[in-house]
Amino acid sequence: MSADPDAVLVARSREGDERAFAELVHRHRAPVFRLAASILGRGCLAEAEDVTQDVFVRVHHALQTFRGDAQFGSWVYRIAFNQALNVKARMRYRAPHLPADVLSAAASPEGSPYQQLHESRQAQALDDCVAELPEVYQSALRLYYWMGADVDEIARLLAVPANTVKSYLHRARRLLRGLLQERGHDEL
Amino acid sequence: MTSSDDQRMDAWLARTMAAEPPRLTPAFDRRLDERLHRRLGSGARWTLGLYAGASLAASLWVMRSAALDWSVITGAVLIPAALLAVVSRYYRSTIPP
Repeated sequence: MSADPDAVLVARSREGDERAFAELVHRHRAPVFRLAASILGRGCLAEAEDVTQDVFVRVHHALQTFRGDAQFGSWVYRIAFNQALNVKARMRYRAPHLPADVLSAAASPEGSPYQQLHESRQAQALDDCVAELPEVYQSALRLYYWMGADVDEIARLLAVPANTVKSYLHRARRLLRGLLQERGHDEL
Repeated sequence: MTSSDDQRMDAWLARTMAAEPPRLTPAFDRRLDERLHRRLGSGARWTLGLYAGASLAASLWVMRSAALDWSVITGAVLIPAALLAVVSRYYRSTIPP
């Protein structure tokens, strides 16, 4: 049986091997960033990258205290989840920032202007309604539908069983449908 | 919500939320490397230590000149130091073990 590669890299990092730490960052930076983006939302990718930076700086400082009870990845994702929630709480009263590339990606090049307007209103209503869901539902929805993550990957990132993720997605869809219908989107 | 409603919602979300997955910027590794290695050099540490020592000595001298009691002076020095320690400990405790 081969040793957990993360555990080997953590042991080497603790002995001061900077290349081992760089390898740990390389292995986990993309999932940490996706997790942070799933919590902060589409208009906050710069903040999600800052969270990713903060997470690895904190991990670097705290590596000596990592007991190894959980897998290294789970530990890092838990730090990322908490850090992203803290940043989101601080941003709550700031005006939302949607970069131009997000807006242009949201606009469909096809269809009549009326259809485009209808779709953009639906997309805006969807963003607003998603923001009203509990944090784990928001995160699961964005990871699944926006980033195309599968249930197993979401389960790893949120540190819950795969069946719990399926239940999150089902309940999130049900809640979203209700919220959208309250806003007059009855066609769903 | 019936099963067909759920499927319809699933298909609608897949269509409406689908977008290019986010990616880290190319500068990510360089920025992280700079942050991880942003440490004070020995000269800066000495300067900071001398500044802290001089500040403490000046504060003690001013407080003694004002005829404050030693218990007040001790409190004025130790309470901020204890607060700093508590805040620093709290910051570290937010990192799970």
